[in-house]
Amino acid sequence: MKAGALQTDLQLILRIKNDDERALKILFDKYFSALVHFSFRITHQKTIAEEVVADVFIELWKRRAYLDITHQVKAYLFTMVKNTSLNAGRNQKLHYSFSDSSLELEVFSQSPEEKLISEENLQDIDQLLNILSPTVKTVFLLSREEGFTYAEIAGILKLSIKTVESHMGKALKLMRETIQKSNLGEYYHK
Amino acid sequence: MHQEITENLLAKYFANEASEEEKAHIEDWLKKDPENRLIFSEYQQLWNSPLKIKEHKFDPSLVYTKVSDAILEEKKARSRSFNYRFLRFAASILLFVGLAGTWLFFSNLPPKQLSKKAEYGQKLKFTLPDGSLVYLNSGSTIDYPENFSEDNRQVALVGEAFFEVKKDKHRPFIINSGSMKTTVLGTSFNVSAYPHASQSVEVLSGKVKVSSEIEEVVLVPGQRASLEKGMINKYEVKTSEISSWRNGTLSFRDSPLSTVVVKLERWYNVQISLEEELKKCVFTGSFTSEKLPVVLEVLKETFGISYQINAQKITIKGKACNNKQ
Repeated sequence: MKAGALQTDLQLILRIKNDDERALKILFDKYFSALVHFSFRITHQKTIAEEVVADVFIELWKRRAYLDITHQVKAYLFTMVKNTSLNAGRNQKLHYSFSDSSLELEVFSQSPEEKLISEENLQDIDQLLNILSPTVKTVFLLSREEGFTYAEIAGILKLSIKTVESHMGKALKLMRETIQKSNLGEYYHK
Repeated sequence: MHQEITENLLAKYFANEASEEEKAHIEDWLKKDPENRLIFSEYQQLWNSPLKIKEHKFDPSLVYTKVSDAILEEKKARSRSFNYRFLRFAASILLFVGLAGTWLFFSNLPPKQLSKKAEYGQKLKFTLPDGSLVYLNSGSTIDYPENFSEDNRQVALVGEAFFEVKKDKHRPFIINSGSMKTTVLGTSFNVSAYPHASQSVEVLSGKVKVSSEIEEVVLVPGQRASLEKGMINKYEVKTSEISSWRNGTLSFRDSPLSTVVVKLERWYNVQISLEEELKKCVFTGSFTSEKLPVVLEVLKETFGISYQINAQKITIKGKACNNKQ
């Protein structure tokens, strides 16, 4: 086998299906950071986020014979991390508030320091993002940070494409309104 | 905010999800009023603000230890169950020790992965381990195991290939390509999945299942499935035109010159630079076993372009044409 010849995600999956452990490690290294931060945004606990990612890769390995990945491997991994993160919350009976009416993703509440936005922090888009509801924020980041298409985001979060579209619009709208309200708009005109 | 321009539309525009029509709509709106430009640039700056969201420290090697421990456990569990069975037979049939050992040794090795590549300017025809026939078009790669597994036959394709799949109703033949998966039991069809180009499957005989991330369709002979933004659209196609590239025919149907040029580069193994203005010109036509200069002459006649050949490098110049899409 030529080194470096089989590098695309689907090729890595094919190698994993054929019991090649090195391919699993390559895939892990490639997506670890993105996945662990995605999980952290749902679970708000570093150790749990790390466990979730480990579990996802162990599961991927165990199920390798039955893997049926047709689409973007990255989107598949994100979907697995989302489901495992939500299960982690349920199984470990974490101190997050559970609300039947809220969207699944919002079972985890935001930590208090995340809600706190001081004016000087508003220059920072990361702080600005915290005015958004967890689902809107997650949708926005999957697009902006991970470059997923609307269709992929809809698949990962089990939302309709129309909902993704309106969440994206809402994110822009709320962030701009917040800037304007706080009279910090000039910063963005520079 | 302008009544017709919503944040939803702007977000689509920035995320590259807007249709041509929507883009034009925004561009019109921008031209109307300098105030609109100001509003637009505010949103754009917001969109482009750098994210520092991944600020937490996580230790990948620590996490991977957990993964590799689990893999090791799984392996041990497997060999324990083998040893147990092995011990029961060892007393009675000693002769099998050597054979069983050899079998264990080989069965634990991952099947060897093979790869075939048709370079630019080259086409390949070869047989897969199951007897299926593959015609590989220029600039395409296919990866497959030395031996297929017992329950399916999986290959990975980058580029374009025509398959004549050997019938085996117990082991579906699966082609993974881009964000598309094509599943068949035995039939002939063409898959095109070059990077950064439209992906499609065209069926010559038998039935083929094509799936994307969101949906799946079944194709019968004379049908073409094309992946557009995650959706699969079905079209009719002349069976005579399916994979005509195998017979040395290079054909284009309403193809923008930017696409034509990419195909020519692969087909003739050359580098072509095309002026920006010409990229959207649309070309329809086919060439069978023609040399590159003939093709270039046809393009010259059609679009009034001029070109220069310098060894493997070709430069095409000209004015924008009025037939663009």
